[in-house]
Amino acid sequence: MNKILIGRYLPGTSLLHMLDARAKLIAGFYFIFILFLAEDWPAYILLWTFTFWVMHLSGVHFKTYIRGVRPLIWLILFTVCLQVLFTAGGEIYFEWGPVTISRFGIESGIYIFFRFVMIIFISTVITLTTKPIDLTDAIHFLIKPLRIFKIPVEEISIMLSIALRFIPNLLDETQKIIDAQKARGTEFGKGSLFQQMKTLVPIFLPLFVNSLNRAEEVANVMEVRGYQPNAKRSSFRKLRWKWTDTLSLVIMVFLTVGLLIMNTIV
Amino acid sequence: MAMEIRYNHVSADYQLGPIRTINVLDDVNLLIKPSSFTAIVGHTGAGKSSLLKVLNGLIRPKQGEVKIGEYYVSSNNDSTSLKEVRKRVGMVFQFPESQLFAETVEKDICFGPLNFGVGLNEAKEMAKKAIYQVGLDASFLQKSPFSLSGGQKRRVAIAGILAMKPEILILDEPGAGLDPNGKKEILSLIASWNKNDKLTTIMVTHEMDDVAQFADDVIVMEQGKIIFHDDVRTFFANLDQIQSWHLGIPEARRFQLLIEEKTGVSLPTICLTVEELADCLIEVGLA
Amino acid sequence: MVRDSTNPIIEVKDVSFRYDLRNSAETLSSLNFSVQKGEWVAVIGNNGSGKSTLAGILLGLYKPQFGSVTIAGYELNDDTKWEIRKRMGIVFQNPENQFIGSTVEDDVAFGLENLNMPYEQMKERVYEALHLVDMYDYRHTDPTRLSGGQKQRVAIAGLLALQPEILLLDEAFVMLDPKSRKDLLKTLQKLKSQHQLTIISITHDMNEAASSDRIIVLKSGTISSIGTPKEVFSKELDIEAPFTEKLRRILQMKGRNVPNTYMNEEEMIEWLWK
Repeated sequence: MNKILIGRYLPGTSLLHMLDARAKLIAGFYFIFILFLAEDWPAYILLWTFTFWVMHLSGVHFKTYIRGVRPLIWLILFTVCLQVLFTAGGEIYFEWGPVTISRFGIESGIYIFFRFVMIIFISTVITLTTKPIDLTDAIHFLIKPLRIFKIPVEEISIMLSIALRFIPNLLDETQKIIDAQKARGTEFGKGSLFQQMKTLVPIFLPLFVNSLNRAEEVANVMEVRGYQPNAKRSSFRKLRWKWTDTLSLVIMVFLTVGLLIMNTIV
Repeated sequence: MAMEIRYNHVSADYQLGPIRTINVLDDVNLLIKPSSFTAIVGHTGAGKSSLLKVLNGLIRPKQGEVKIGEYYVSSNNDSTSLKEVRKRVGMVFQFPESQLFAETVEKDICFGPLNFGVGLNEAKEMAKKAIYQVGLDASFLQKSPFSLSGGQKRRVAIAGILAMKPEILILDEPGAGLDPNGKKEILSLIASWNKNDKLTTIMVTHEMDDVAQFADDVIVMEQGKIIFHDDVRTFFANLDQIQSWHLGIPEARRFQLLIEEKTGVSLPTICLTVEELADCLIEVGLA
Repeated sequence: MVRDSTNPIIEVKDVSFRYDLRNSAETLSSLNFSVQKGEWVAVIGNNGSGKSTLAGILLGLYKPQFGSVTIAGYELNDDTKWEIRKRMGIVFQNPENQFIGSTVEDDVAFGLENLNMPYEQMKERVYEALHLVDMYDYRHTDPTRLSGGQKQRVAIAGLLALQPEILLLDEAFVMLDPKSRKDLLKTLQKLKSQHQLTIISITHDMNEAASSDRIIVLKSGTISSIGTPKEVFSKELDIEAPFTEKLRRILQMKGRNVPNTYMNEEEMIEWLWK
């Protein structure tokens, strides 16, 4: 639970911390999109330069980012191997049945690896430098147009922010119940798969009951504090768009242009 | 067999993701006598809960060890010996009713004993004994724990610990959130197990009236360290010290001081309960 | 303190309620009482007496099968309950589940957001309310770093921001340590006199009840007594008593010549000194 880095906010005062969450989200999604425009190694050099520059701007140590990749490393290597072993093109180095190791295969394997890692790094940058509540506010802003399709944007938003607020409580409660059942002699991680799953019932059931009770209490509190789902509500929290946010989007445009140029070299 | 509890240079800390906290326990040295009733007081964050958790191995000491009779908890216990410790050190968490999960009260109470290798029939016998011990009767055994009132749920949770027949009972604010009558009943039960069954009892609490009424000894903690450990009357004797620790005093003591201030009459002893105060007032002729 | 004795701000007439209509036993039976503007009324009773149900009814969470409730001039029904909730704030017992916002100021603003209040006005009210409970410095703090007492302060600020006339406390201090309880009680007493609030406090704490203006004692869903602390504690002998009353009863039992009625601390000390 503690080693997953994506989703953990580290307070700070870097330039990235100061950017509007909407700008970061938009830029982030856009970056992932243009990743797939890169055709050859000059383009990837440009992308890597950009990625490292952004990571440097975040003020967070490079080691922390590496730690964020580690949990996913097997998935990445597996996908890379598939690419390397089963696609053919250009000079062939080794062939055996369905397995073909070719120049194209190796190259595209490397590029897949690059793309994976860059996506993780950039996503990590966003979640490290953006308060979760600001992210939900940004999401709220960006999905507002969906109202046309009768999607309850406001309700989804408030559900997200309340869920976020109670996550630490849920984690604490889980730990407390785990401790209580350990004190009663439960041993986790021992025995057959079936036995191990059985030990989870004394955790999940109380958690579930506790969460239901909590949900009912919170709903009552919201109601008596005047919350009505379909009524118009103002917002105390404000996201403020500054010139630096516009600048960040302009930089993305430049990056795209640069990428297209790089594609023409080689 | 009465077990003595000894903390030897125990230090412990927490790991929370990439953050390592400062020592929650800092070079703790303690001797807790068998069959005593010890209250642990101090501010939130002083380390009280950690002191309890290290006693049954939920937190391992970074340094030092805790000896419980012939068992010990240190940084390199394997899980078998921890299980032996947990069989003998029963821990009741705050709001213990949140750990109830079984279909019936009986099944929930049997959970602990079954985990420790007791046979089903014997476990059911222990459950029956335990339900009476907490002041309920056998009719509760087949009910669903979720259909009970808050106070009843709490008793069932405590019964689940008593059924393991621990020699040491550690409790974290057992009266929290209960109405005065409910709290009185639970604490009286705990006191009776201590006196009659010689159950070594360690209780974290904020309520000074409970400390005055039930505890033999008091431990004061601050920032992971033990700053006081002595008997209860010595604890309440030095008012300045208590104030410097920002701790409260029992109602009776508070009123005694008010009476002494307003009337100028000094009472013969330190009154910790309303009965003692009444006797003192009669003795000096004020009442 | 000037009490308006002819203008009740809350009137409960003949209210009966049961959760399960199949059950003939009523949780609340024929309740009749009124609360005057500016009073501090304590509602006490053992578990099962119906205290929390009464709170739920006053808040419009449950509808009584019989009787009527009038609050701040409005007769309580499904339409008026929203208006009433703007004038009556409640503090529940669980500090955690009451905290909706992601930071202190966000939570205080929650009630104002529900009223669709413009931002500038909200800001003013939020900061004013935070100052009143001494939590302004914590306005950017998230709830994981607050104690139970601090969270209850924030809850109170959230109500004050609405500028209510009535404060309903539903065992609001039960989960707090004794010191926080004392501090919060003092804060409330100060706020009450500063802002002419009416306070209804459902409580177990007899010392708190002893300092109220009137006490309503509930037993098995009916009102057993209503009166001043002196009247109630002298009469109701099976409920938990405040400290001085405990002392008085023990002295009486030991044959001393104590008065037959409840005395508060000052009165007790005076009597001792004679």
